[in-house]
Amino acid sequence: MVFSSPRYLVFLTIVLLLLSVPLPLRWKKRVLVVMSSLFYAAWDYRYLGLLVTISIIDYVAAERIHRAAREGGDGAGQVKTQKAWLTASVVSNLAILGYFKYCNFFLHNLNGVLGALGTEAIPYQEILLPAGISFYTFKSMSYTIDVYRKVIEPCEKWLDYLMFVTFFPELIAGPIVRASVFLPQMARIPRPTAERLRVGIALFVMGLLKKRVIADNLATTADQVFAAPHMFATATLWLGLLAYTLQIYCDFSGYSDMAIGSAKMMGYDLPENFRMPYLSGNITEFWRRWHMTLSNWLRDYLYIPLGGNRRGPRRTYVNLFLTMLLGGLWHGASWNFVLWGALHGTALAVHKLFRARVRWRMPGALGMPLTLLFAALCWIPFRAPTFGSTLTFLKRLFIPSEGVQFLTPVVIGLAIVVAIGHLIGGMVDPVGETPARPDARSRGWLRSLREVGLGIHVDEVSGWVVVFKGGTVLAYAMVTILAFSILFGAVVHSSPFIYFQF
Amino acid sequence: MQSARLPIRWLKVIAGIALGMLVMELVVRQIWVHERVDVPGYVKMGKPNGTTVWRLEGSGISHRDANGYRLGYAPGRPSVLVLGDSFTEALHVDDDQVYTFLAQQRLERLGIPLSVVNAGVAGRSAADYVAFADRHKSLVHPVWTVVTIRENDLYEDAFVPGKTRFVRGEDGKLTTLIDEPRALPRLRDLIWDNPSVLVRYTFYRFHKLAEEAEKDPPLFHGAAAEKKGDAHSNEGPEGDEVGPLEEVLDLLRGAYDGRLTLLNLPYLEVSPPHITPGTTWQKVLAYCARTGMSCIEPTEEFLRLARAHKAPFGFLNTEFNSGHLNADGHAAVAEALARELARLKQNGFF
Repeated sequence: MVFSSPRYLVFLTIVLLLLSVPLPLRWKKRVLVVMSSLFYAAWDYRYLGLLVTISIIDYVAAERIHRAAREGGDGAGQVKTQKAWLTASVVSNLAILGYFKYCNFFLHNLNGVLGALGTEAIPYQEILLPAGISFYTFKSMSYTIDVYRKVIEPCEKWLDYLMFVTFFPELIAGPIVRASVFLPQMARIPRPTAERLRVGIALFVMGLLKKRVIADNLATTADQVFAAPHMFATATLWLGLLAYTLQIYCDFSGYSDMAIGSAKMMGYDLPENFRMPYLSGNITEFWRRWHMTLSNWLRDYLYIPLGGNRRGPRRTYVNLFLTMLLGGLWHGASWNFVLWGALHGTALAVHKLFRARVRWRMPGALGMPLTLLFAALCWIPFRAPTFGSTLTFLKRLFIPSEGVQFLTPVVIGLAIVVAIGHLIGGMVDPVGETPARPDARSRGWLRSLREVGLGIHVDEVSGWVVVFKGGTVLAYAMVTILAFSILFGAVVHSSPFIYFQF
Repeated sequence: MQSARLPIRWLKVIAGIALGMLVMELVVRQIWVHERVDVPGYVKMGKPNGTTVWRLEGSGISHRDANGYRLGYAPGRPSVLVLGDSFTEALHVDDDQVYTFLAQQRLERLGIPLSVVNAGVAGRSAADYVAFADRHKSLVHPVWTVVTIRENDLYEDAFVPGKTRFVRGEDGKLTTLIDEPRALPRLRDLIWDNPSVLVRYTFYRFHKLAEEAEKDPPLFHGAAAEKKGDAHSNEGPEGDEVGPLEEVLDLLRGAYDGRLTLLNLPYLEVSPPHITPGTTWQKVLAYCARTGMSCIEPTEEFLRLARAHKAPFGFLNTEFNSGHLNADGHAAVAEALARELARLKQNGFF
């Protein structure tokens, strides 16, 4: 069940109606667990067992870690017990993820070696990747690690933990929510209030616009160009690259907006996942603004345990590289993702080295387009189906080549829309400020617009969108126009969310 | 005080929505104006004497005569009737870019003055061409008829329930069944007849999105469906069964007194340029060779486009080499059609 489908709208409405019923907290939690399980089982009921299994393993492991810490203080035996349970949790999660996601990748490479040695190949396993497995294993694993680190107290009841793991708005493709962020929210009774509904709907509609109108329209060009780069002329390849660069952003940030909006309507706050990443002045900043919940996860549970920047500059560069390399592999079982991770890891390390050795700081006017260009070029191995097509794409991109010229104005038009949106978003919400969300305080000229009665929300992609708040004829008219624009601009055959494959 | 505010608020809501709809009505009129009506004794089609604006796929403005045929044909000359579906109706291009008009121009330059009448209607198939042959013949009096097809028009699309289709009669022979008009108009007909383009277009969009939503994987078994889809992905079309193809072709020939050309629009691979002949078309060619029926494909013309890195299908506002014929595609088809009509004329067929 995808967020942009009519099925999901019906499902969400039912959930909101159920949560509106005045029930005790424990019953509301049960409702949410049942509905989240139905949401996941709607794809395939058999994989629900996997989710439950992971929740049991990590719940028990965290509980034992906590018990050992409580009972034995810091005695060597108790520390050993805690470590053993932590290891059990991490290994179990990684084993499940490894089997479902990397088994055939491993076999493919092994068979390559066996073939070279003249040995018979091992048959591939018939495995279908369970939806959202990369996200929920990471989320669940971080819970036991946080309990081990004593950052959080474990859940008292398994039901609570199951609700955290299965919470449907972020179950399939994030944002990756930490237990420390979500568990405290479970203590309050979820109730859809008028204000939460208003903000949640605005975010959801924003996400729908990004996905169905912008990303899906761009996908048409991006899919064709990446499917047969040998066929297209250099200019068309650049256009296709631009299309994919914008598509992946609008697709994933649109999904995140819909997830955050759905949760907000229900009474929960999920962390922000994107903050105008293509306005970043350098690659380090890019990773602070792109898929923020994953980069924070990698920083806290991989980069820092590897030593972070505490073991000297050389080790820092290696740690950065390794973190991004594994981050790339997290996206998918393919050497293309490894290459993508390696490119970003190298860039982060080089940027850190540059900052340490050179006093000169690149001006934003130069840094921003260079960062965008680098990020865009890195999307080629990320999107190309094979390593060979990555090379073909890159070669034809930089060596003027003849081929099909298909310079569709759709991509250019949508790129202008996104650029204007980014720039307005950047003016209203400069680097490091509060994100431009409907619930965030608007500043300057935006606030004055609100004061004259026009409810406007600035978004980093669409530039602005009217929120049903102003109460003026013009505000209602603009909401009407927005609704029709989504209906008319949406691509009939919607592409699947890109991050569903991870 | 409270009760006085309430109606004012609702009035504001209504006024706001009305204003928004008015703006959208004006916007939509620039993109899509298309009226479909039930023509007595025929099918639902573009309104006779009407104008269609179609900028959803390509960009075209088309005009129709009193019989619903697309304008562009030269009156007062011997007529060639061209039947087909949306590829022939060609709302995606202007009147002077459609292959029927271009073929007429080419023939004119060759000194063969003919009136090439475009009778294409979206969604129609071989069953309609047989069922309504008398209507066309009485209106156009064609010296020759061309039926433009894509392979499934002869088989799958001609047997779909709910519209004009082929069925087996009591005598076991293939015959046509015309879908009877409903006694009472359904809600969708009432919406479709609405004067507001915005309302009609909204309905059209909902209809398209609902059609797509029906293709969603089944609930609770989506993974199995995905797996099944993967397993079949390399198998290609199921079998080579083309059904009672020869009977369909016999009926078509009979309906137009044997004075018929079948024009197939093949799918073209641009890189490397090639056309893989479909199973059905190969059987059609065998039938044509045996009976002497005229059957053509714009193969060379399409391949020439591909060699120039162009495609006959697709538009800048949709997808490359996908969907309907673009202006280049129409020109290519016109060339093949004009060549065949000239050959037939020189050989004294009309």
